[in-house]
Amino acid sequence: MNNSKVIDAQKLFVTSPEQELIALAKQGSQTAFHQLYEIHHRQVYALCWRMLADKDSAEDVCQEVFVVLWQKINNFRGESKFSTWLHSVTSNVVLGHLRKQKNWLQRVFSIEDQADHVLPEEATVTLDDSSELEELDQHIAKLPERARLVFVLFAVEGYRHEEIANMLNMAVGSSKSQYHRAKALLKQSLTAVALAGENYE
Amino acid sequence: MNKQISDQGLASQVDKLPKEIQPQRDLWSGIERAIQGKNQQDASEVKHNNIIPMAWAASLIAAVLVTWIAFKPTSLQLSTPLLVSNEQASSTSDMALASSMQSSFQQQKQTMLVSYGAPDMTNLPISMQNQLTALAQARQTIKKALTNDSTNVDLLNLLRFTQQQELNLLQQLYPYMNNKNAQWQRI
Repeated sequence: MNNSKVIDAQKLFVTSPEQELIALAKQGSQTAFHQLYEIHHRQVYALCWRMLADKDSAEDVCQEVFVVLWQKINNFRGESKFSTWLHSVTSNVVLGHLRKQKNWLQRVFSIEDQADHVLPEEATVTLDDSSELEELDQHIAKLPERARLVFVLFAVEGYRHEEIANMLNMAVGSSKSQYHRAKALLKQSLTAVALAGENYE
Repeated sequence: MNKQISDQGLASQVDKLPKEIQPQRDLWSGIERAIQGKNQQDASEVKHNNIIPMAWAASLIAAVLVTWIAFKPTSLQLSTPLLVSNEQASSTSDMALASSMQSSFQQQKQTMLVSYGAPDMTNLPISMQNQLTALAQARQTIKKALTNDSTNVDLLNLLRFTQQQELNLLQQLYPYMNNKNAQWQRI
């Protein structure tokens, strides 16, 4: 009974050529894996960029995601869309990267991870590679780290607050409050830009 | 004049965000290198993982072979145990066990010599005859000692060992017993 459900799900969610590429990649075909990369790498990069708000880090982590994917592709059983599964792999790799980075910073500067306001407030980034980005993406990138991560995962990627809280190791309430904070900051900065444009005109 | 962005306005902008962003540099070449490196690493790990069980298997086979070669019974040996156990020693009264071993030995020796065509032992070189004589004397000495201590397991085992050595020596000499001096010289 369960097997037939799995087969139905595979038929429903995975398109036939992609299913074939996945099967070949599972058998070790780098050509098939390259084709999967060509199909998905822009989405993966977009998620990396939005979560990390840094071009170089996003490129490095995007590469890391596909290396991890090559190692873990046999774990994909076709029970969900491949792109959904790949997005969760990407989120995990990005969060792992951030944790490593934060640990390194803490070691170097002996900073203790005490409270939300200690690190994330300083974690906003200066964009030097935003020319090709949508205006909203540029504003998202300027959000404090935690607010940005919650906003991207909730509003852009569609995760639930419970899932985000679990991923970011925070309370559900914190996830919700970070989302509201991100929204308020975005509305504020977008309004400021709109007013500046009006004054310019 | 009201330029305040609403929740709906923000949600609308979020919906319009592109799902894909093109990275500015080629990422595949780095991924390909990493994958090939991982494959080679995995292959070497698999190879390394295979060597250990194979080495264990080879050692086990070698140990079994060595044991088998060392303890294999020759065709002319009887199936009597090489060593005498304490139970055997204690359950057999007085000289009965020693006598039984001796008669068994004589029987084996006789059978062996008959199967070799009753060769003339005097054809053997003096040194070989001396060795056989020495073994026979040792056997007799042990037998005498057993008359005083008939249940001594060490003496019984020594008797069995001496008998076995004599039989082995005869077996080794067999190919040369019925031939002439030229072959004796080779020994």
